[in-house]
Amino acid sequence: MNMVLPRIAARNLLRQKKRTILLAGAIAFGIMIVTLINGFAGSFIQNVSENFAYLMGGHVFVSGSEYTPSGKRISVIRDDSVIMKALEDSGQKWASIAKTSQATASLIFEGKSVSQNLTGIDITHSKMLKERLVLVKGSWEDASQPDAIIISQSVANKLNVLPGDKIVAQLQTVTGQNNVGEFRVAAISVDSSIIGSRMTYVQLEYLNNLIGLGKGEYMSLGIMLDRLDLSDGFATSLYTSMKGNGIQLFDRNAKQESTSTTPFQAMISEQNSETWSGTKYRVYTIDDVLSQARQIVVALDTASVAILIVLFAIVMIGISNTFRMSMYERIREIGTMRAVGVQRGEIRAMFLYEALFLALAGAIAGIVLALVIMGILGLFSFDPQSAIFLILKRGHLSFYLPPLRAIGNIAIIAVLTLVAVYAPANAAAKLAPAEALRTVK
Amino acid sequence: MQIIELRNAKKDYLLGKVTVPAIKGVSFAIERGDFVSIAGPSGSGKTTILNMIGLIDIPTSGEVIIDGKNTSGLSDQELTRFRHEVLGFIFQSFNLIPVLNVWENIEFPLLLGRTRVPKNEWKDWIDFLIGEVGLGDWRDHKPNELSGGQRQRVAIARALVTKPSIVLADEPTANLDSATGEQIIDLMKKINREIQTTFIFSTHDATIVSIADHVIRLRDGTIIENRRNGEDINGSGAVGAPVED
Repeated sequence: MNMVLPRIAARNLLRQKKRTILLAGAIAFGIMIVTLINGFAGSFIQNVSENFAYLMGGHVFVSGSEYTPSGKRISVIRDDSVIMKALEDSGQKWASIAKTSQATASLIFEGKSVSQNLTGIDITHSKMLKERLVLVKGSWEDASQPDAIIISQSVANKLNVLPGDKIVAQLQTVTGQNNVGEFRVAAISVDSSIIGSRMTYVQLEYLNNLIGLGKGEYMSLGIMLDRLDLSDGFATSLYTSMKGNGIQLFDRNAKQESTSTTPFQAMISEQNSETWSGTKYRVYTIDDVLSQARQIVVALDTASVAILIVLFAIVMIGISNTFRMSMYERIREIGTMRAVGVQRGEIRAMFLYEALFLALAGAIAGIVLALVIMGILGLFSFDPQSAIFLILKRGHLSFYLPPLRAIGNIAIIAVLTLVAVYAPANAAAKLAPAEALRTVK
Repeated sequence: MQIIELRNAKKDYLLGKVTVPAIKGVSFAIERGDFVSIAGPSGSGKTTILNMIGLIDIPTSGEVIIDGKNTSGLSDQELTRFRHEVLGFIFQSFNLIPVLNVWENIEFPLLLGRTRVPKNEWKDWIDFLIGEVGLGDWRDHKPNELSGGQRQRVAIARALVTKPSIVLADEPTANLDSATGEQIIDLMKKINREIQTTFIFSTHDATIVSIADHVIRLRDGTIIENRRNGEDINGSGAVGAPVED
């Protein structure tokens, strides 16, 4: 490759500093906006998934369903020994497992009431809970009591309760009977992962008793893995292993044949249409539950590409006109080069090099600018109670720009700029040398 | 030995719908190593003749033979390659590349393809040329930091760097004061004597014309005088009047 032409192209850009800064600035601005959207979209799914994983107590879940004699379908795992065997047989590693039951209850204290989702879990032995939950009042020792309830700071404030106070919970059993229970406030928590502020924990056995489940029974088995991206592989192995152990399972692939809006909805809708005897299990991941969140990411990414194209269509018109002007300004220079032996293709290449350098400079500047803005935005902390808590990472906005996406954006800009400059570059290449030399500027 | 021959070369330009004849069919030959002046008033066709010899303009009809090669029918790519290998150019407005310094401007044609200068001799050859044109202390300067005379010296060195058989100079002194103009012509003449390159320059300055070995005088696109070493050239394709079709 003849290196003198890229050298001249680069110096021509430097010669016209103001023009170059304006054009590269326009590219940088566009790329910055798109990169910010991509960065937000990139972390959105990760934050939502991680926050939900913690909210739901796992990355991969097994839940059981059965029909009561009256024909009502309830969610229950009565004997998990077969699941545990299948887990061992799958040969996969996990960080922790949590057996939970859930119930929606109204917590009442001295005439004040708050509706909360109660998560029944073995508080005494839950490593995950002790790692993540920070108690501001009360103690883990008190929380080991059978009737203990751990409430968040905000719930405690609303009910105006302190550790040791007894609160009443109104709830329904799995079969739909109304029931009332009494809990003793054992601890008040803040949670570093934000979600915790919305969670209320009680002892699994105690909750089971109130909702009509027996000892050793629970609704859902949550398996926490080391990383979110391991979920799908783990779920597939576990599913295969459970199937191999002869466990009755809902089909994981139902989603592919369904017309429902999301794969998870497809799976649930298919399960609703089935009848069976005994307990039938389903294996699902946090990704299955959050497929709608993935659709948001796809929408954001599509929007960013649309913005990229619209924004750059405008910028490219400017670039194309500027290069046309630049060609007329340098017409004698082009004539001279042609006279001394520069071929047409090389003249075209020189202009295209110029366009490429401009695009790269603008795109890289835009990405750097976007990263700086992401860093600054990431410094602000948001109220854990705010509506956007699910997309936050430890109370902060976070961004993740997939490297391939950044490279892709740079490539799109480079190609668009080359396309925009091709016509003036070609016009320059087609100039007859004598005509170019005759031109009086 | 002839290095250039024009056979009944005509050039018409289209101005709107009107065809304007710039060169009305001229034939002449130029000997290798000569210092040739194409003289005549403005609009007489000097630049058009030089452009046709320089293969940057194609005759409307007729033939241009350079270094024994008939250039009619060559593609743009072949003409460009031929220009690069055989011809050097000096322009009235110097036409240096503004973003390159003196050394890089002179080096530029060498980077464009095969030349008669082996690559390992480039540096010494460029240094020699910079010395010849007296710009040893200005090698790192950009064209806008040089005077008109200095720029034209750079242009001369650039024209010679590929060791071309022919150097074409279109009014090389027109943008210079008379003293600098004379220096430039003296320099061209000196190089012509030293390395036997054929120099063809156009001018309307009578004092410069007198230095030339061979003078072709034009008026209104026709040759009115064709004199070599003081003698009228007759025969061998040189004519003093347009050829009628």
